[in-house]
Amino acid sequence: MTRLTPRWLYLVMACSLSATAASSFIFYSSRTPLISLVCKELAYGLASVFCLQIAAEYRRQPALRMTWLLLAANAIVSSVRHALEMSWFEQVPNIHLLRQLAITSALLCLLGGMWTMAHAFLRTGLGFRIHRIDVIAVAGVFAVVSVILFFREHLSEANSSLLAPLNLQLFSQVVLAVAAASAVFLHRIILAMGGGKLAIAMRFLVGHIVGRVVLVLAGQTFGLNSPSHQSWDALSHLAFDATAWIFALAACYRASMFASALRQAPPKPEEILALSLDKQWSRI
Amino acid sequence: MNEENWFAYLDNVASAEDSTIAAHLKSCSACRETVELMRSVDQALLDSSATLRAGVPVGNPAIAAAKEKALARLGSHSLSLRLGSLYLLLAPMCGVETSTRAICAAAYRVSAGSPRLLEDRSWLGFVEHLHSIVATLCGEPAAQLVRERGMRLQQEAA
Repeated sequence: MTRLTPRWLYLVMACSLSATAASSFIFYSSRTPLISLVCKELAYGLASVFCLQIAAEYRRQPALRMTWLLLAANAIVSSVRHALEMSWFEQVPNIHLLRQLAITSALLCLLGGMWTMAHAFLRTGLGFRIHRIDVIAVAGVFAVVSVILFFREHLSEANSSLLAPLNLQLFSQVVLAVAAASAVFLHRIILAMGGGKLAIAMRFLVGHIVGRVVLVLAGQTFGLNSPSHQSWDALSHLAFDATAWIFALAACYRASMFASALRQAPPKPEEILALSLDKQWSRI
Repeated sequence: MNEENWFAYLDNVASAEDSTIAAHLKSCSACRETVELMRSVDQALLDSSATLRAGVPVGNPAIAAAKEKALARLGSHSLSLRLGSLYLLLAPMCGVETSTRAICAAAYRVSAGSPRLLEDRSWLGFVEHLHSIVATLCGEPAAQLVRERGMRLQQEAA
């Protein structure tokens, strides 16, 4: 897996998204859900392998090890969740409950991963601080979730005869909101980092959460999940594929960090001296 | 503000962004520490160059030979250069601000208060603290890389 650099992953992602887009918008193929599922499974599969590889790097840091194990669990459960969305499983008893269980479990893993990561970074004592604007942004996130919960008649499980799937779906909206709020704090840490591969990886992680929140917001608040919105259905396949790939990119950037640090080994002090000496010479 | 503005500021070359940078430095301790670190590296280079030039007879071959000799002698002795080397290793991974903060935090933990106050005898303790911070941020292999580099710099200096 060390040979699979972010550059290669971008290429695989481009091919995958092109296949889904072509199937949806050019060929209007009935196999679009299947193609999209394969793309998502590939993205989440790669992401879970990267996450497990990263978790192995944290032998003596249980919190960070837990972070990447939870993110790997999120990838695995998300791939199961997308498989359960297929029409093949419509006849399975309690399929709605199973789907909501998978969604909620994946979100809880994602949230747990982000919390442990943010907590571990804040505990390093590097002076990462939360700003007032972040608190306002978090308030905004919770306001948006209130809107989703207010329009809960648009939720896919709103008309379910069972209470459990609806309750689970409502709970998952709250978990998603808390994850989005955590993403705001994570974004503050990213801004304070001043670049670097780790910041890129974390930025993709935040992008993955924002993508999921936007998709849920668009789908459920405006009632786009109903069968009458065919164009939304095609677009949502593509968008969910993209969010899966964004997560895979986050893990790939983080996994490749050490390898690229080895490749870009800095010059030795004497080399720094030698490079700068001529410049300094003229200034004396 | 771009990289050139920062370099111009560090080289004391007047530019239109000077006031913006100065205002930013008043409020940002991380950038202030970075500027101080860079200036201390700069000063070390200036001092080295001055020593070098003072002892060099006229003529290019002589200058080159003296440069080689001085470089061999200076090597990794300067703590500022060692810090600069670790900083350059960390920055592409953790980012420039995180690297500065990590170096400052590690220096603080060995009771140096600031990287500028770090002493030769506390170097290994400093490297160990930096290792533990980097292990949390970037993982054990990256932290091991920092430790190995820190140890090697110490050995080269000894």
